[in-house]
Formats: sequence, C-alpha cells, structure tokens
Amino acid sequence: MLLLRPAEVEKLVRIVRLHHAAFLVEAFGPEAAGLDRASLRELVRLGLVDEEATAGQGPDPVGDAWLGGLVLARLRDLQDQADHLGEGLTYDQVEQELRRDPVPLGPTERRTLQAARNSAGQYCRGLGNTVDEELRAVAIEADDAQAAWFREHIEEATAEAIARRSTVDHLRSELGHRTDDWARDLERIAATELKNAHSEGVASYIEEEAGDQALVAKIPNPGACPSCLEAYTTDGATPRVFTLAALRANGSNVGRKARERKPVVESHHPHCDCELVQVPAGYTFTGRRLVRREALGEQAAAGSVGLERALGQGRADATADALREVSAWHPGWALAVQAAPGWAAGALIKGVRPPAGWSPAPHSRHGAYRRRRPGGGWEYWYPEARVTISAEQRQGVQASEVLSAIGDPLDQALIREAQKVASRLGISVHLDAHNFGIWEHAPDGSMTLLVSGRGRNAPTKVVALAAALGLLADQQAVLIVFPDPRGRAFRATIELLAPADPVKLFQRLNPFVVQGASFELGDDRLVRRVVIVAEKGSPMHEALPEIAKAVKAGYPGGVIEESCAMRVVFRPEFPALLRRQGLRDLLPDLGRHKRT
Amino acid sequence: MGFRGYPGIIGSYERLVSEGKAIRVRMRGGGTEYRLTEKGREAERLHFEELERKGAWKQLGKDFVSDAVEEDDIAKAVGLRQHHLQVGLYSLEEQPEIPGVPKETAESLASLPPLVKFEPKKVERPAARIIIGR
Repeated sequence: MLLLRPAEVEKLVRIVRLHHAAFLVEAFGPEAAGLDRASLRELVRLGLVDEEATAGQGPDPVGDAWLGGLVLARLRDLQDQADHLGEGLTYDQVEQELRRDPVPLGPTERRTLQAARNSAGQYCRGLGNTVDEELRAVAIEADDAQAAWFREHIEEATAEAIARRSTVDHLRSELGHRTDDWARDLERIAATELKNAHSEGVASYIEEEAGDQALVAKIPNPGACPSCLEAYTTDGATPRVFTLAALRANGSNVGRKARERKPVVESHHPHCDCELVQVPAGYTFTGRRLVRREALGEQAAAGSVGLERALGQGRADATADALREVSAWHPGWALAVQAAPGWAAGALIKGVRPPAGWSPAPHSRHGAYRRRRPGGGWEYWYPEARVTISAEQRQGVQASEVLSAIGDPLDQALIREAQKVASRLGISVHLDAHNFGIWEHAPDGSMTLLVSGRGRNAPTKVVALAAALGLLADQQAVLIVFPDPRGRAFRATIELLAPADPVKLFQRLNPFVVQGASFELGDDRLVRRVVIVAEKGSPMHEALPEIAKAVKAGYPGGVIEESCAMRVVFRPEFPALLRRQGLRDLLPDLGRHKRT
Repeated sequence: MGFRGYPGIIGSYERLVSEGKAIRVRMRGGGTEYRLTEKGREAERLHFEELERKGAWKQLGKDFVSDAVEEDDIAKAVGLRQHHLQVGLYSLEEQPEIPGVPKETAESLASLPPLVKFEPKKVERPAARIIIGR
C-alpha cells in the first residue's frame, strides 16, 4: 500500500503551489507572478491574498528597492552640492528637496522597474517549480523506503504499521529539511533581487543624469568576497572605475560559473552587497578615497616620502607633467603611480634628469651625463632612480580611448628604456609597430618591439630584455615571438590594400578572431596590417584565408605566414632572468645602481 | 587589463587555461608556451562552424562593402566587391548593391586582370619580437 496516493501527492503539490503563487502576488505584483485572472480569483477566494494585491495595489518591495536606489543616487548628488558649499545636509533639507523636486518616473524608468519585478518574479516562479518537483520526489522516495522495509520485514505481523510510522517520520523529517532549504533559497532570491532592483535604480538615475558613458564604480563591503574584490577593485582595496555602458554590456552573472563572472550593474553573485556609485568627472580613487584627479600626484605619493618630495612640491618635473597630462587625456583610465622603493626615495630627489649644463656621456652603459671639470677632464652625473609608471587600463575603456593613448609619453619612455637595456645586453631593439589589439573581444593597446641580435646567447638576452620591460612597464607577463621553423605557432600578417580605420575594423573582425589579433598602425593611426599569432593547425589558422578574402589583402592568397614559437615570461621569473644577464641593478630591492 | 591582470594575448590564453581549453608548458631555458587542448580546438572548431553555417564570412565581406559606401568611397566599394567575387567569397547573385553602380556580371569579372601570385619580399629575420602590453 502506498503511503500517499497520487491524488494526495497532487493535493499537497497544489497547496504548496497556491501558497507560492500567493507569495509571488504579494511580493512582486500580479504581472510578475505570471498568473491568469482565474488563478488570481482562486487565490482571493481561498483567502490567500486580498483584492488589493491582485489589483497591483499591495506592498511593492521590488519597486521600493528600485526607488530607494534612485533616491540614494539623488542624495549623493545633494550631498556633493552641500559639501561643495561647505554645508552639511540635514534630513529636513533632504525631505524638502525631494518634495520640491520629486524623483519622476518616465516611461523608460517604468519599463525598467517592471523588468526588475518580472525578473525577481521569474526566479521565484522557478523556485516554486523546484519545490513542486522536490515534493513529488520526497513522496516517491518515502514510498520506495516503505517498499524496501516491507521486502526486508515481510514476515513480521506489525510490519505495515511500523513501516508506515517510520516512513511518515522520515517524510516529516525530510520535508522539514527541504523546507529549510527552500526558505534559504527564497531568502537568497529575495535579498539578491531586491539588491538588483536597488542597483538598477541607482544606474537609471546615473544614466538619466550623465548618460551611459558616466564613470561608475562598485564599492565592496568590508569583508567582501575575493570574487568581488577581483572584479571591482584593482588591488583588493582601490575601486575599479568602469563606464556604465561597459557594466551594462556585461549583462547578468546569473548562470555563469564563479570564475566566469564579469563586473555587472546588478549583484555580482547571490547575497552580494557591493554598492554601485557614480565617480564624478575629474575624480578618481586612491585607496578607498575619492580624490580630485589633479590632486592625484600628491595623494598617491602620500605613502612614499620619496614620491611626495619628488612630485608633491609642484615643481615642473618632466615625470610629474607626464603623469598629469596622461591623466587628463583619458577620463576612462586611471593612472597608477607606484610608490618608488625605499632605496630610490633619496635618489628621486636628485631626479632622473641632470641639472643644466650636463650632456649625455657617449657609450655610457648607465645613462651617464658629463661636463668639463674646471681643472681638465670630465665630471660624471648618473641618474640614480627609475620611476615605474603605467597607465593601467580599466575595463570598459572604449576603442577610441585606447587608440588615443597609443604612443603617449609612457610608451615613448618605455622604448627609450628598452634601447638602454638592449644596449647593455649587446643586442638592438627598435619599435616595430604600435598595436591596436582585439584580445578577449575587447580593445587593448600594445607595442611590438623588434629585436636583432646574433649569436647563440641571443635568445636568452631577448628573454632578459623582455623581463626588464615587463618590470619597467609593470606587466604581469610579456610575450616573445621567436622565429622558429619548428615552432608550434605561426605569425600571420594580412597586409591591407588600403589603410583602414582601426575602430571600424575592430567592430567588424571582433567576432571572428578567437585567439585575438593585432592591428599594426601607421603614423596616421590607421591600420596597415592585421597580425594574428596562434597555434599551427588550429581552426583559427584554417580561418585565415577567409579573413584575408573579406578584408581584401594586398595580394591574393592574402596571408604571409612565419613559423614561430611563442614564449611568455611571467613576473615571478623577471628577477632571476635579469640577474642571469647582469641586470640586477634594475631590481628595486638590491641597493643603488652600480656606476660605469 | 586583460584576464586576471594579464595583458592582451596572454590574458586570452590564461582564460582558455582556466576553462580547460589550453595548457601551459614550461620550456627549458625559461619561458612558457601555451598549447590548445582537444577541448580548446573543438570549441574553436564549433565557433567557426557556427560562423560558416550563418554565412558570417559572406556577411563580413558585404559589411566591408557597405562601410565603403557609407564612407562615400564608391571606388573602394567596387574594388572590394570585385575582389570578393574573384576570390569566391560570395556569388554573383549574392553580391551587395552599390548605389549608382550596376551589379557585376560574369563578363565584367572576366575582363578584370587575373589575381597575381604573391611573392613575399625577403626580409631580414629578427631575433625576436617582444609584444608588451600598455
């Protein structure tokens, strides 16, 4: 005999379903609950919801959270204005201001709000279906358990009674556990969806006020998870700056595995409580503090006596100028000013440029300058410190911004450093091309340096040079492409017949290059060549002729291929590689430079 | 920048490694090489198969022609369309419209100079290229 007849199971499922539907109507409104009129009337008839709720006039937690976000964003604006005037902001003033100028809901806002309600309702409906299925499964499992008990104890007289009691206990206990799980799921969905609605409200206000190119950041809560810290901060503390459009373009993290999550407007993960804020124009973060961009030099240097003394006194220093200039050019980029290591602090005061009257010493291995000594002979001056600066690209940077930054003073400084280091190694290097890349289907700037060197040791010297550049440009890794007939990779060049606009070409080719591609630019910033480095025989390799056909290469067949080997040198390897080639003075923790 | 702070191409390979589509191989003498796994090749193959199925290559060619038309560079648009027809990217029936220019025909294509075989210029082989992110 079955513990529960099919009709009884269905009755149980119906009870659960009705209560779940009632919850949906109460929490998200009749539209988001996805119920027809008959079902709504049934809920009212059973007394599970009242008429008001079915007419959409009941409580509206999602709408409240959404409006809360809008008002919060508005409050931040008011607070900024008050701070600007040097005044505080009282509750009465806020209330008065909101009454005077209420937050209006236009058609777009209404649609967004309804979408937030529907989204929340959809997840809860999904949970309702899970509950139905699990309830059925529990009933079937209970029957199976009872049948098994019968098989083992069939000869005992009281078998049926005991079996039924035991199975009912089991069923009760199992349902209890499942109910806890369901309650937890429901709480998770409710908390996450309300937070989503709140973030959407903030985003809507920012978009309305400043457009979708407004700069935003997500401020992680203290104790935020590593996933949020990685996505929304640059170093575990400093918030990462995005454009609102970039966050929106990343969609939702629902259904993505943890490692595939992207920075998004809504919750990064269930129960995420990171707060979306607007980064006002002209401001950026140092640590968790929002500071004026022009004050960045002073703020960033605060942790380092050397930098403070070098940059904070407002003197016309070439490095400080370059920092401020680059910072001003690229609102989507934040400039990372790295504190110089302790050994360099004193040397920074001396600076990297000699005083007037000094001229470069010919063939100096350490960038020496010299001047005539009054009594005859030469007096030498050595730059004693290097400041490593990098314009760190933030996610959401537009193709046009990448393009405008290519070849900036930082790139130029890096090329000069490359030539100095190469000269010490006895090899030569020059700029091959500035690249506008498509990597991971996003725009990215890079440089290709062409290295010439002879002899058996040339490859190890090239690797050391790459490590030095990685260190100077503060990169996590550097790619080296060696011509190698036996290499596993190829370097394909598709020469364009006519120069092309990189941004347009990027938009066209983006979906087609799975392992990425680089556009080599001419001096006019137009694309001359498309370069693809990938594994031989891979599907990307086989697709090259199609790309060449479509872009109209400067020759039939379209592609020049060179067999090569790709080598990547990672940051932890840099010190050993530099020491091996006698470049230990480039390492920051080994003391002062040796003299020539 | 890139994936988990890795620049450009390295970032894209690191993502493939995290998805099991590539592996890192440490090389003697320093440096690391990435190699696609079977899963990685299959994912790429499916990607291109899907593009082929949707006729994306043809569409790409047509998009380049329409870009040229938008730029008001009719000569470039005509040149591109002739090139696409000569290399067989799309057929005469599928060729895109260019305002004010008649469609190409078999005869007009036959009158074009044939594609010449490309001979790459001899260039000095470099010791290496270093690609460094910004």
